[in-house]
Amino acid sequence: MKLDQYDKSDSHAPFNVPDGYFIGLKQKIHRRISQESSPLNDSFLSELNTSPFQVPEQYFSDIHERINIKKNALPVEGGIKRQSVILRLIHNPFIQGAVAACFILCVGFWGYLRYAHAPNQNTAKADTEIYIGKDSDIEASMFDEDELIETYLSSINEDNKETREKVSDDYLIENVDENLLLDEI
Amino acid sequence: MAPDIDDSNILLRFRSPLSRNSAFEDLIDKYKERLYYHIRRMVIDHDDADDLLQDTFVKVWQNLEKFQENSGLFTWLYRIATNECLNFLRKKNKYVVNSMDDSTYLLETLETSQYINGSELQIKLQHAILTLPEKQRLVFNMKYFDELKYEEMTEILGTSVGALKASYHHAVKKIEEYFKKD
Repeated sequence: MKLDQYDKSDSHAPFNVPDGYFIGLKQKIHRRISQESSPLNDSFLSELNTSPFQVPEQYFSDIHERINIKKNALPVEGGIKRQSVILRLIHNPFIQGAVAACFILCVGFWGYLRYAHAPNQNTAKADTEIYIGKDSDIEASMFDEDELIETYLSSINEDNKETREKVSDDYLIENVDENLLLDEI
Repeated sequence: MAPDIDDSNILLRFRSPLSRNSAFEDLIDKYKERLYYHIRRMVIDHDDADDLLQDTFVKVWQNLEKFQENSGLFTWLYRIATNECLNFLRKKNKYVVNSMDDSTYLLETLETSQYINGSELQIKLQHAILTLPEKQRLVFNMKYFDELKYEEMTEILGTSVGALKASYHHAVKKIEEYFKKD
């Protein structure tokens, strides 16, 4: 038979397809495409497996040597043991907390002793005040009056002019002997 | 179904994300049968042809955006389908070696498959084609059944027109001899 004698009007023969094959083909293809474009495909996973970290050249080849150098530089075994016990104690969080609590108690107790029984500021100052005139061996003429008044006013931290004048008058009346005041007048 | 939609229209619509899906569906509708039977003639079995056809369209979906229109769209599709067939057959390693007496997987499938139904002559022709070497089978199917031009076949197979003509001529001779002997 010559090929030009062959009837090829039905060029698909002898091949058949299942019923409805071409109708459902598009859905099959779309499903395949969805599977292919899933992020967890092989190429994506293989990329994840690749490490992004680089290592210097020859790093692994001489690492034994470097480890040996460090090992030989370590101190003697007994010393290491003692030191490690101390270090362990120091690094123990319970020990650290106890030490901190003791320190705070000590500071608090010292503060209490220091300030709780401390005399009143004014009283202390009053103790150091020198009484002039009455019942005192010290005479007012030994001190400059203005200086006495300034000293007194500064002790009470008073800046107001009127108040200062009033306070200075009160001071003179209360602290200077009446006879001296009269002599002055 | 869109058998008459222009290829340039499909390409233009495919490049827009909004119309990509509909363009792709039109492409499938237009070329599914031609590509299917081209693949089917190479691998004989319907299920194998179905897998390869889907693989072809998946690759088209992934790469159509990069298609530079150096060849016709159908030529490009045909080349993808052809490569899928050749890769499949090489993996299976069950293609016909150049001998008319060899029994092969493809010949057995041709005889036993439920989706083979034709006249004695039609089946005999397929037998004859399966005795050809792989590339010669391709050339013969493309020229005789798909009626492609030699210039199109050059783009698909990367072989010169002269070599293709020679290959086809030899294929025809071998088939005619097959019919004479039988």
